[in-house]
Amino acid sequence: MEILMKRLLLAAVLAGALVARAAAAIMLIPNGAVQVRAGAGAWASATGPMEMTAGQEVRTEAGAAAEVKFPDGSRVLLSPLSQFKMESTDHKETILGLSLGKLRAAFSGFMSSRVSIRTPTAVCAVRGTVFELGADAKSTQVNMAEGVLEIQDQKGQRAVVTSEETVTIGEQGMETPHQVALTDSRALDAVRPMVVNRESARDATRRMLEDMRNRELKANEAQLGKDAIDAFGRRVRIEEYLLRPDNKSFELLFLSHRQDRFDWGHMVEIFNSKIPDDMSQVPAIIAGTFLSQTQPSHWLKSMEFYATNTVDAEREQISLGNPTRIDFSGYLNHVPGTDFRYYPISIDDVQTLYGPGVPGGARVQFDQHQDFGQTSGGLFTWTQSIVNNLGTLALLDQLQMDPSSVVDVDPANHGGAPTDTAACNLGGDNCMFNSGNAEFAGLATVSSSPSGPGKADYLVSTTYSDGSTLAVEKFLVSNDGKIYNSAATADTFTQNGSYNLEINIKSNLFQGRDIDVLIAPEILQQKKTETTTADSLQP
Amino acid sequence: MGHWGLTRTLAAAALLVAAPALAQQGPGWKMQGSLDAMAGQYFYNGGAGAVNGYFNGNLQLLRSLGTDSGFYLDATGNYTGFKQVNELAGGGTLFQQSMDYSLGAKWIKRFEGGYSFMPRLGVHSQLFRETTDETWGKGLYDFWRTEAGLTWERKTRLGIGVPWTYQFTLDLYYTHYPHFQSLASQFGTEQAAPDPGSRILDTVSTQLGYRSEFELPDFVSVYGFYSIDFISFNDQKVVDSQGQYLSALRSDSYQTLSVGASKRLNDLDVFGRVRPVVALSLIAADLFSNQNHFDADPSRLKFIGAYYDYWEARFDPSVNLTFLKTMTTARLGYEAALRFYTGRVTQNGDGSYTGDKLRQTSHSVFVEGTHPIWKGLCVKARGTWSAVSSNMDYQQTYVYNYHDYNYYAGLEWKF
Repeated sequence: MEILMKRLLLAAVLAGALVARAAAAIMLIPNGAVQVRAGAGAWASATGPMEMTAGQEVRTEAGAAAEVKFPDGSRVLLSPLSQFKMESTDHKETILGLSLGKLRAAFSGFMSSRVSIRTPTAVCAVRGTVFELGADAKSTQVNMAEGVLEIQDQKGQRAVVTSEETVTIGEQGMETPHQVALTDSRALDAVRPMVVNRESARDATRRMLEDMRNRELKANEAQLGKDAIDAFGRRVRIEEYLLRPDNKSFELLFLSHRQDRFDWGHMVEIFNSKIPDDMSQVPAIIAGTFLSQTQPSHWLKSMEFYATNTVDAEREQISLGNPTRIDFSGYLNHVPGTDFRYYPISIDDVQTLYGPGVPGGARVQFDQHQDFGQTSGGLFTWTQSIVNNLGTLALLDQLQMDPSSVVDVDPANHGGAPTDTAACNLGGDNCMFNSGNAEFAGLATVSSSPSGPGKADYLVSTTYSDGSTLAVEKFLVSNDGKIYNSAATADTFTQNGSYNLEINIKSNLFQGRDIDVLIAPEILQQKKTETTTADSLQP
Repeated sequence: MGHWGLTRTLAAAALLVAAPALAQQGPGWKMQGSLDAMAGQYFYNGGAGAVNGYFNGNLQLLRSLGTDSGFYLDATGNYTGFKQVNELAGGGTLFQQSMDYSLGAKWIKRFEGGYSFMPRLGVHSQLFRETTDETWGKGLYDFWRTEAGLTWERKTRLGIGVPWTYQFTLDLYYTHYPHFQSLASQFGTEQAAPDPGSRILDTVSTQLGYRSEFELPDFVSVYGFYSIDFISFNDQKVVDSQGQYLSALRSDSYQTLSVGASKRLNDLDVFGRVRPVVALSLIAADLFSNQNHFDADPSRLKFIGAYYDYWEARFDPSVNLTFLKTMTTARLGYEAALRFYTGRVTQNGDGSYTGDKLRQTSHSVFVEGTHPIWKGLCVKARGTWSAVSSNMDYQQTYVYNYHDYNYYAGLEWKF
């Protein structure tokens, strides 16, 4: 136990040496008959603590001991009958010598760039070490306690010795260092600070791999667009799934979850025939539904966009007739009779609100019908109906035009002045504009940017003649919840970019609730494509 | 996280408080540890997070039962009020606060001939606040982990000159995310959603490792480490090329090989003598997964097989300087990392896919300094800068090209 305690003291010295700021002198503290000499001079008794300098030598008589203290806190304890020399010391190198006897040393390793102890048969370079060293003219015995020591024998053979190892270096060189037995008095505690520090670091390295893996799981959720922050600073989890109700259709389901609410929606697309298993071909099929120069074999029959907060909902249903061959030369090459394209013979777009506050539980707010040749031969006809002052759907306006006529498709004639019936009615057209009628009194749509100029926060509020309202606010919001800051236009929201699209739908028919979904802008882009009508084409 | 997380949190705090008393009263106990109290800030692509605190406490209680056996207990608690540069910078939350707690115990049993057998047990929990509507203990990505490990060590020599320590390790980790379930499993029934699984992040990992360490002459230390993880996802189903979920569950394997060396150089005759230690590590890793990805965006509808598979390489040089006159330390490090995804293809800015495979490159530099002021107390400061780039142009859901940096400074006490 005594040995153990001494080792602990030495270990404490080693630890304390890191911060020790003792005087710069090297001190010799004799205990008993201790003698000192300088160079080859005569030995003189050391009777009390004294400063040691390079070139001085110390020897202890039988029963005596001495301690050498270094400025950095390092210590050397000399046993009886030992002879120790301070050969040289400066900031580059400290060389000590043990020609005879035994010492126990605790070195912090900071006193010089290199610290070494020479014996008649070995040179020991210190790294930061607690050890015992015994030497005579023929051999050197090293017993490491804790740390690392480098030894070189007279033949130049080098070895590194670590904790609890022992090695003998003779005139013929060194033996292989070996560990002391666990039953040996020189063995240290199985659990001690250096062991625990090292083992903790190794465990931490392996655990770090598991930590990194978990961090990556989280990153993948973000990379897959499943984790984002909305414009109000709330975390939104998003999942999108592709469902195949049958081989002619698919459904995209998008789920948005916040801590206290759940919104979801879907987009269902139904085609005229079986669509390929390779779903990546679907966008091309949809594109081929509109203005194809050859008759498509597959085309879109209907699309439904639906968003809900699980109580209230908004649905937009679009139904498409079969593709028919239409002369679009008025829009395209401006040479009548030369540019025929396939286009749905009809497109119906119906917007419906649902909820306990909606009269009857569900009501169509808006209905747009478009056809070619069904209402009037050779003409496109658009009719828009909207909720009137009685809360029922009523015809708001109707436009007609000939897609083969360059003059008729001119926006100035059918879209530029929506109330100018005379300008719209060219040829066989039959246009009607009822927005000035009393049943549509109070009908107003206001656009604004609530977050200020330059922010992609675009609000469109409609007040209907029966007092009902519908406000759709769109945000382009980054993954960390920042609203895109640029000149925002309505069309910005259907463009692809590095922002998520958040759609917030409010209505006074929703009894204070709102619908708030975060979706990829492409969904809206596709919806827009499918509601594209011939009047949005530019000649 | 609920009651379990809070219970563990309180247990860790109680241990940190009670341990010193225990160590003083129990014969043969030793105690060591450290406490950090700092403040710091995070900057990301020009945006700045608020100045916030960083507190870390680590305590170890050691009990040796002789030369052949003993054990130690380890408790760690951490609060970080600002993000680290390696934490999901591109993933969407500039704001993040986290708490991290772990408790562990390790038994050390030594045998003659340099052999040791060391089993361990531990629990670990992480709590996050990342948005204004998340409260402590309710974070989406909170998780707790139960872990157990076995280490078989041999300390021997390579020839006469070189001490050689090698270890074979087996570690098991069970990780549970109490607040994370797929939305489809929670809300999918009414929408007839598919079944991707419910607890899709929960895993059981089996990690096999081998490590060798060598002490070479001239103040050189060398190590090598190899590990392979077999990761079973308890409830994450594999998606097929039709976007449909199979009954098969996701399983990954992750292996890493690292080698490194450090060398103490001669002291420099500047600033009253400076001791440099240089180090270098090289790391190679790869991940294979049976999971794929189906991009359900209607304009793309793209199936990507082997979506998660990648290999990567890292290069980490560093230098540690000790100013011997004042015992001030400075550490400067750099890391370059390359990651190549073998299945994941890049996207253009509009989201359309290219034929190129995703590559990511990152560079980071850190500098850290400590200066002792009284016994084990020192002031400490650290700053890290990082830049990440990629050939991915589509950044709608994740930012692949960014730069960020952080700093923190305060006090560290080692005891």
